[in-house]
Amino acid sequence: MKKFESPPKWMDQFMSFYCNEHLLEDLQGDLHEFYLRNLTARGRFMARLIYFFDVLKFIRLYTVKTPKLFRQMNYFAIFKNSFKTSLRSIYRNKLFSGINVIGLSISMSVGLLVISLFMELNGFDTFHQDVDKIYRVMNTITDEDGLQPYASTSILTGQRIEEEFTGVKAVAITRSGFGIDASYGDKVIPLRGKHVTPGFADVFSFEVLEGNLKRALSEPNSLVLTEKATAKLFGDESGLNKVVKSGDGRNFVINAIIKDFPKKSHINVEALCSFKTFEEENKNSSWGSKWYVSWKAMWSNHVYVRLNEDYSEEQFQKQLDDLSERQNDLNDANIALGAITLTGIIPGPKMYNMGGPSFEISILYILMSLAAFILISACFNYTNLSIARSLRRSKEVGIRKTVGASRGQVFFQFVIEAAIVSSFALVIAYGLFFLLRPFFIETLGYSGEILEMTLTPSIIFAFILFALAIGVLAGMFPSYLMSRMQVKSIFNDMSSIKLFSNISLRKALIIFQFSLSMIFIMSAIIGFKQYKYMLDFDLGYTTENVLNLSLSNNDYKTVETELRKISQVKDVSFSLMIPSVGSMYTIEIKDPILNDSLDVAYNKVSPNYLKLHEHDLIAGSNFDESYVNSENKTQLIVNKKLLERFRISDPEKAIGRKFKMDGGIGTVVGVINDFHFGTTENELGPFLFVLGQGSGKEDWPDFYHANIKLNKGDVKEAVNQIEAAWRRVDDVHQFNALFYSEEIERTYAFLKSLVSIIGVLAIIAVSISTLGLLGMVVFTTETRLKEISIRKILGATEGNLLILLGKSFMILLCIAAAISIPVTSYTFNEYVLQDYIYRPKVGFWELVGGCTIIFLIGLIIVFSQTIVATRTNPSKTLRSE
Amino acid sequence: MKGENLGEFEEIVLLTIAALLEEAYSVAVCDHIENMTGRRVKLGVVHAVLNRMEKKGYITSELGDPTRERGGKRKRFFKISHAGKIALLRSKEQRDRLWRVIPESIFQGI
Repeated sequence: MKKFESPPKWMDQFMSFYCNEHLLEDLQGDLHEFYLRNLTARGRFMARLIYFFDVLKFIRLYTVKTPKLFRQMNYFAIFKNSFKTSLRSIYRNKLFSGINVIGLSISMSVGLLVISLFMELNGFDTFHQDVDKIYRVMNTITDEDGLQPYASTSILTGQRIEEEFTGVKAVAITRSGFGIDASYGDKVIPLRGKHVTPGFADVFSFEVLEGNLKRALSEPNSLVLTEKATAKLFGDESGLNKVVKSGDGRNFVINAIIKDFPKKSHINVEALCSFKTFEEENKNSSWGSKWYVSWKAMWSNHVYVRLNEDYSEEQFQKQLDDLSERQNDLNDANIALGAITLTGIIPGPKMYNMGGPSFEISILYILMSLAAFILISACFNYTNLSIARSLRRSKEVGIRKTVGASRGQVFFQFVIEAAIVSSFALVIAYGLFFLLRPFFIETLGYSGEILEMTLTPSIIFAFILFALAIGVLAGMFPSYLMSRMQVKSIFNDMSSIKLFSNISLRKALIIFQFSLSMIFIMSAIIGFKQYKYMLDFDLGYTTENVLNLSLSNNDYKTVETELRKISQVKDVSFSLMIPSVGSMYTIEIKDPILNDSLDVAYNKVSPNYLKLHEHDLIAGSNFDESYVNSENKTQLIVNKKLLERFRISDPEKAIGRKFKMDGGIGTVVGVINDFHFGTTENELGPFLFVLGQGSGKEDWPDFYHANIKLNKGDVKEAVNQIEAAWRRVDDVHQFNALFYSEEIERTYAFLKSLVSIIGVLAIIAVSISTLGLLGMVVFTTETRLKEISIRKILGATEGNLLILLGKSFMILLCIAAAISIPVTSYTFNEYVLQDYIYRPKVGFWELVGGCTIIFLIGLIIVFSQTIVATRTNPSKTLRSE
Repeated sequence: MKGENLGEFEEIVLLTIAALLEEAYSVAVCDHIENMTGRRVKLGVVHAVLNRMEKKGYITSELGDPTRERGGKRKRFFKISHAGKIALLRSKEQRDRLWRVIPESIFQGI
């Protein structure tokens, strides 16, 4: 035979790979024959090439093998069989299945909440066209406390981007603080919203119902209303082109009506006013007509850009860097511009001046990891109990393997079983999800306000995937162990299977679960203590029985006369802001002697404010009630920290000192003790009280709040009377009053949410680990029943047996406590409570108390189960031996 | 009735198998058609038709004895079945009937 007589082997192999067996042989022969012909006629190369193409050409429907999957339809039968046996086994072991299903379903309901939260948050702001090209420009200020990220930026930035930048399709500048009391006919409705530039229409794609959005935003005194606001003002009439009057007599034309902002939008207002209107308003301002356009005026503006399709974020960032560098040099500032994608705002990093709803991404991550811990704990229950019980199923595995099941099939069977359990759990978890959802949203407090957590098909799909994943995760390890069992040892010599060979693993899992439970419980206790501590914190002044009422631009004197008519009102003072609840106003003051200036937190107050709040005056006197502020002179009262800052050692010497401030001069008339005007996250600092008298510059009111001190007594009735008084003064704006204690509670609402969430999770973690422990104890006592009986016959007392059975579990709990106590105290002292400068010490009792609860629960379980075992009559268990 | 009539190429292959008697295997069928009609036929086409006709029951097949040719692979020999013969006859009869009614004058001068 000639050397090249047959074509390359691999081609033949390929053909046998795809070709149906009954066609293969003669077909291959035919091709060989042609190959031989071509070999002589056209040479080896061509022959091989043709052969190769022939082999390819014969891949046809009728030649190709049916795939293995379809050929072995008995896979389906095997699946059916596994399914049945799984169901039977689940049904037969009611206790263990119950423990697994309950544990998994509770933890899965938490998982479902987090999944739907995650999916909902990630759907925010995605309804805009080409949303990945929309960015918000943000400022980052570097000061002595480090980097301070602000969501806001200056109008100057927006204008420069519009004028100078390349690659930018459109720019929208929004300014918060638009608000008028719009009247139409005899209706007066307060409208709140933003001033926005025409670019708004190009950057975003909010749905316009009537009119032209861009034109509406280009004209002065032009309004854009949402459907809802239109309905409030005009009822069923169309609002387009109607004119409404504002409180100060200006006319606004409604030039466009847009659909209500979607709930999943980070911009959510009732009205948009053209930015031109704002410019007109400020044309004759004493601060100059363009005071708001400065590099440092960055507090109430947001700038959005839409980049060109082919323009990247990096290129844009480069231009921003250039701009901030130039402006910082000009203005002696330290502001870095940055860009954040629109969808990165919610959920997004923590920033100041969000100017709308927000949701911190770190909260999401915290919730996700907490849920993950709970889920792992529940999975461990399954793993643990399944491994412990694997011996009971060993004969089944043995028979399956003898009959011919492969390792993969056995593995598959047990994974299916786990998936069935987790599917049952999903059904229950789904129900729990609906029960927990309102509680969950409420607990998230401020952050939860933007949430609805409605179910969409994709979320339900995610739930199902999630349940299967959990099932596989929980069932994987026990299935692996089962599939590894040797047939020989199962039937030959049962004792050779090392039933307890995985005992250390199981112990580790139990320790993990209990450490987790203990950590959760301790965290909840510590968090609650911190929360309580903050509420009861001594601020340095009195907030008791003080009701703060928002003035809503009403004349404070009218309000005062009305309020003083109420008998239960002891005193009324007025202030610009409310300290100690998280916000701060600052003002720049300059000491002409030291030639030193300082941005200091301040409050403008009526003369009796300090007395009403019982501030501690240590030098000088209170504000002079008869003093009248002139154009540029006013009185000041300062705290000790401010004196320290300006190196004045003796408070008495401070009296009469003058400070330059905002074009005027203030004279210090008194010094008070330091007090906590920030939150417990802030250290004590300098503070300044300025005497306010109604209205200051630009007719901006000095006072936004009335502080009403009530006599002790029927507080509810007093509040009702105050509300009635408010209605007499103003029937347009809402009655907006809160007790000081409520405001403080609100300030720390985040901590409260966290504490309640951790509290609930602690309960869940404890119940899961308790269930797991119950399962393990029941199993151990069952398997050791004979041993117990023999010991009893030989004279062991119940006490002896209790110790014997309970000892190992108690040791596990001790180890769990030994792990969790240091972990918790370290984490809390070093990380969680780091930000709180004023905080209670994490003490012995919080830590030990948490563990003790777990110990008690563990003891009860071990005790109750063991007692059942020790009380059984030995003759019953041993009779058949 | 559709499906009972032979396709044109099917008919040719069937006739070839009938003509080749005991020697009808795919390569020989290809060669014979080429020799007799001058049409170039591809093995792929013939193979597909053979496979189809075997399914329809017009032909039967049998593997021959292994030889040292063809890399030791056996040949698959085809034989025309009873149904195949009937199909051929019917096809011929249909054509004859049609031929008979055509007046000879039409083909004059060719």
